This record gives sequence, C-alpha cells and structure tokens, in this order.
Amino acid sequence: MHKKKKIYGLIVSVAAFILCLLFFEIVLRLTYPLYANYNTEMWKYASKMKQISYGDSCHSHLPETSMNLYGAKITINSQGLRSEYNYSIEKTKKRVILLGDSITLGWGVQNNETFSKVLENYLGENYEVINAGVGNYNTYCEYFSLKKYSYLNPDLIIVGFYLNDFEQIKYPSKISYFFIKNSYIYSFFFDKLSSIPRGHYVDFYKKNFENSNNQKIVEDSLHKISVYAKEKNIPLVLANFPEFHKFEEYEFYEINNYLEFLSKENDIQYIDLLEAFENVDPKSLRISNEDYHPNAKGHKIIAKFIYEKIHLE
Amino acid sequence: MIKKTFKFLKDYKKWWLTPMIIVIIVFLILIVLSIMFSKNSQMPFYYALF
Repeated sequence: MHKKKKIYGLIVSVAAFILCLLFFEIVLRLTYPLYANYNTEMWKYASKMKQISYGDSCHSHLPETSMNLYGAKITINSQGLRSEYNYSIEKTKKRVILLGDSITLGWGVQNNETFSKVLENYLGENYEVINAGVGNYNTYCEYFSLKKYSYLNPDLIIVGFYLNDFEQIKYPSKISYFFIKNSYIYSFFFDKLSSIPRGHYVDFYKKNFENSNNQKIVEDSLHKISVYAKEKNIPLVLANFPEFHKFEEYEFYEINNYLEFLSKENDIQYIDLLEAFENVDPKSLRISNEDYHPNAKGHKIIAKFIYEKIHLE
Repeated sequence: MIKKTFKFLKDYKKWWLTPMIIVIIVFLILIVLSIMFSKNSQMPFYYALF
C-alpha cells in the first residue's frame, strides 16, 4: 500500500510540474509585450524567421516572412533576402551583394534605413544593393550565402565583418530545436539567465579571436570567398564594423590589424569602419541601452563611408 | 466524483504542492536576478537560439 502511494505520488508530482510549466507558458505568451526585450526579440527572430538546414550549410531566412521586431519591420522576400521585392536573374542594373550578420541585415532599423538601402541611394539608379545579411552569420556562413546567391550575378561583393564572426554557431538537435523555438519559457529563462554577468565583452571577443581553430575557419572562409570572386572576376571588399561600446581607447586594434593582413593576403579591399566613427559619440548610435546594434544614424555613417571607399566603374 | 478528486488532492497534497512551489521559486529568483543586473551593459551579443 505504501509503495503504491509513493508511485501515485510521483505521477502526481510530474503531472503537477508539467501543469505548472504549462500555466507559466500560457501566462508568458499572454503577457509577452510586458517583458519583451532584445533577447526575447532575437529569439523570436530566430524561431519565426530562420530555419536550420542540418547539412553542411548554415541557417537561413524563412522565405516570405515579415515581422515587427524590436521596433522595426523586417521583411524577407521569397529568396530569403531582406527586401520588399524579389530580384530577377536577369539584371537591368549593376549589383552589389552585401554578406554579413545582424548588422548588415539591419536589426532594429526599418527596411529603408539599412546601410544597404542608404548605399543604394548613394550609388544612384544604375545600381541595386542586395542585402544578404542574416542574424548570427559568420564568415563561414557568408561563403555559403555567396554561393547560394551567385545566380544573382553580383558586380561587387562586400563582406561585413564583426568581432563575433570568430564565434562558431552551435545548432540545437532537432528535438530540442522544436521545444526551444516554441517555448516562451525557454526564451524567458534565457533572457533572465543571460542578464547575470558571465564576463566582460572585451574578454569574450578576445577569447574568441585568440582561439586558433576559430581563426582558421575565418581564414579558410575568407580565402574561399576571395577565390570565388577572383574566378568570377568580381571585386571583393571586407568592411570591418567596429565594436560599438567605445571608439576612443579602442580595445580591438589587434583584430583590425589581423583582418587587414588577411585582406592583403587575399587581394581583398579592406575598409576599417572604425575610422568612420571618429569623433562620434557611441551612445548616439545605439538602438537602445541594452542593444548596441547601430541605429539609423549608424547605418547612414556606414553607408557613406563604404560609398566613399569603394571603387566602382 | 468531485468529492473523490478533492480527497485525492488532499491525500497527495505534498506531492503536487512541492513541484509547484519549486517552479514558482525558480521563476521568482530569475526575475529578482534580472532586475538586479538589468543595467549591465558590458555584455557581448548572445543568442538564445542561433
């Protein structure tokens, strides 16, 4: 009798635990606008607008999706690019393709405020700029992206580089992916846990950079991109975004020098965007106090600087 | 039926109450921690998914 009660008790405990979690899941879904922030919006972007391929390649945008995220509307066309229209294979204008991560995508800024759109306006009516930026992409993924969109025949390739491109992306297993992407509890937990300090951003980025395996992946990927560009006779540019916490007493000159060296080695034009932000207050460039992605002002500065540096026929 | 359910819940009170209290306490701890560190802006970009 005693043993039977214990078994029943355990079943009741598990059921109560599941019910309790379900209750919180419903509450968190209903009250989402009250606690939405950078982390939860990034989770929403990944779970509703991205997909994993589980092959050799990387995640990509879900075609034909549109969402308001962190105050900006993000529209993905049927080709998986941030654009309100599709690009035809036959081109009527010269094409510039931008490869990169959430900065290139234009996280937190409107479709027409992204540096790809501003650059397009600078270049004039004979050019179109294709924004192939995908959140959390690194150089490894950008090589796959370049091959994927090679059918669009770009006349110039610009690779946007940010410090976290040294980081390798870890994808969840199929089962945990299902729960992670559908669970508001997970998003809530992740957000709360990530607020607990785990180290300074300088140490985090430097540690990623100093990992020789990470460096090798960046080197190999950049080399592959440059080989592709040379074979097709397309000019290639590496635009290195600065870390947006502070520009004075900048902490990552070593990484900039390394990227400049890699660019030289691979015949890539190197653009150091840190120079573009000289005498600019970094606080005036943030999307918000918790999100250091560049805002519309930052995108304008990036577009203008790239426009002034690139050499087009 | 209702009487039986109430009796069952009463008999197993500690079994269903304990996990519920644990879940609530974990939620409360996380909320308190995130309020304590809400002004921490020295973090790199982390991703909840990918």
